Amino acid sequence: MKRYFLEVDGQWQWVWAERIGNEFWFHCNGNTHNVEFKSKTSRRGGNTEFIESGEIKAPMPGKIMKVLKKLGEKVVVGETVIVMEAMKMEYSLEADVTGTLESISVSENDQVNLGQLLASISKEEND
Amino acid sequence: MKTIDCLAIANRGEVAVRIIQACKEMGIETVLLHSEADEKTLAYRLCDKAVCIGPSPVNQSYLNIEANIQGALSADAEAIHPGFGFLSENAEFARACEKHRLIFVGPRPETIELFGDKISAKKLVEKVGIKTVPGYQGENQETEYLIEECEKVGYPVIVKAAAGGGGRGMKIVRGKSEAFEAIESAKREAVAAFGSPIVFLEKYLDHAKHIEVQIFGDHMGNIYHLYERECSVQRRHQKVIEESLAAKIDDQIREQLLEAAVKIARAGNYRGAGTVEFLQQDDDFYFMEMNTRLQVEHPVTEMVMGVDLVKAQIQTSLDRGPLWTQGDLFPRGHSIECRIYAEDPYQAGIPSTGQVGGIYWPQGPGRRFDFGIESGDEVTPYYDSMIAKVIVWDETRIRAIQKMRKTLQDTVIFGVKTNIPYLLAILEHSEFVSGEMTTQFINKYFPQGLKLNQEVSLDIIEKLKSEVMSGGSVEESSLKNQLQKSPWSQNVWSRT
Repeated sequence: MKRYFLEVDGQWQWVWAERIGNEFWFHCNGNTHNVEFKSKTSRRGGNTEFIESGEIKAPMPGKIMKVLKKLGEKVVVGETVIVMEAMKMEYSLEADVTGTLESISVSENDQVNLGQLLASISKEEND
Repeated sequence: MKTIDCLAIANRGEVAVRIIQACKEMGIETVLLHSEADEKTLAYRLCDKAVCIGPSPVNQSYLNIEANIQGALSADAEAIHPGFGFLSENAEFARACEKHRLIFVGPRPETIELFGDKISAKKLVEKVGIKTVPGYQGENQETEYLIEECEKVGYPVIVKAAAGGGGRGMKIVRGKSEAFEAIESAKREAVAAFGSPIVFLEKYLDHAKHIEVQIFGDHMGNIYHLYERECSVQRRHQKVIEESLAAKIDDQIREQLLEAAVKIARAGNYRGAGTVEFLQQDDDFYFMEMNTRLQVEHPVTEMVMGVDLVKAQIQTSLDRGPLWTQGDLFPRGHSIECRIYAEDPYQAGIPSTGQVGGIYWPQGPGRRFDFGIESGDEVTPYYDSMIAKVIVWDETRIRAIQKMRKTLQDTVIFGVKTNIPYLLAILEHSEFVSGEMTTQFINKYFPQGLKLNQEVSLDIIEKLKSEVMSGGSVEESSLKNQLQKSPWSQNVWSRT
């Protein structure tokens, strides 16, 4: 656990943070939060990076604004699949793999919880 | 003169740590009697000797009388402190200690038995002229007959296990139509939890406060009271927030309560620390039960009274006394305790287990942290999910509430979820702040825990992700920032 002094949304504040396994914990403004992410150790060294999971999860609780892709539609890395709103800000959730949209479990105006699975993409198997 | 060189602790978690600390100060060696699950705990690291008394499930370790006795003897302990819960109110255990010439730090076995049986306790209390909640406590346990008695008492009625405690085996009956099923269900729970189907009935008071009096009997037979605590904030009959003195109580009623508690303790020839629990509604108060042990919430009394109840218990078991004079025991200021449970407040309080990550207790004047876990320890599903207690003291109740809020806001526990957001919501609630809350408080306002409404800035997630992942250089820069701005520069003082 480490303490950081960060500018967040224009305000400087103390933030405690720690990575525990696949979870990322932090504490700021009197609240503790944890966010799940997936990681792998690269063969080259000990650096961690976000793994391509093909899953789109809600990074925070909020409301689904738009679902831009249809089931079975092709998506490419970086393409926005879902737009959600949280804390009066819109957030684009992008595909982290190229492939076909395999499932969508939410529709517009749904309230979603932190970490909830929203959509999944089956990865295109090619080099 | 009796002495103790080595004391065994038949308990775990934060209370084991509490007892070890008292013993260290008194120059007494400690032996921790622990289960297989509890090697990675603070108590294990602090004790002088440790004896594993069995596997993780409580009935094979912490509730096993023989294993505890043998463990204590094998380590040459001369006394056993039972803490709270587990065997602390088990007369058979106290007797087994005596039989093996171990000093049981607690009341005499007869006393535990007398007050442990809720029916005999009620009889004693009524004999000294203290009211108990109207009800039925007879031998006829047929369900049909109990329903008739419910009618006589008048609904709502609460059905309680005679051998019970801690909320198990309790059912509220609001009308005749529910009576049969509720009584049957209470009996089943009573058998499962306490091995006896005997229940009794009580009128259910729907706007009562839970007020309890800390009493203490020294070895010479002097009975002291150390004023009262209020524990009206309860969830499923389990206390969540406690305070001393009571939030709002008429002075005259307080006097009567204190006097009644002393009378009851005297009638039971009480020795050691004990708590007399009452329900107070309007101008009436009723005896509920007497707990013959140290309470979880004892720190709030220690804070306002300036005493050390654990040391007082040990001194009493060594026949030292008198401990105090009643006239010198006078409360000052206000103290509040919040129980920290490892649970998810956004999912109706389901327990959260696993390895604990970083912990930060924001120390400061008038703040006390009683805990049993440290970073890297495991919260296992075998035991109660209470991992710590945060206690504050300040000159007035409102300042104590403000201090508690700030303290909890600055408390960091990673790895397992805690009820801190839930506690903060309670501390913000106007009925709690006003001091008007009753035992219905949580049912009324927080029946399902909290709704999910955490607000997280995306900015922070993005910034932290890169910082935590990159390591090195960021840490240095943040260290420099720490020196420039310590949390103490923040304004924690109250506005009132």
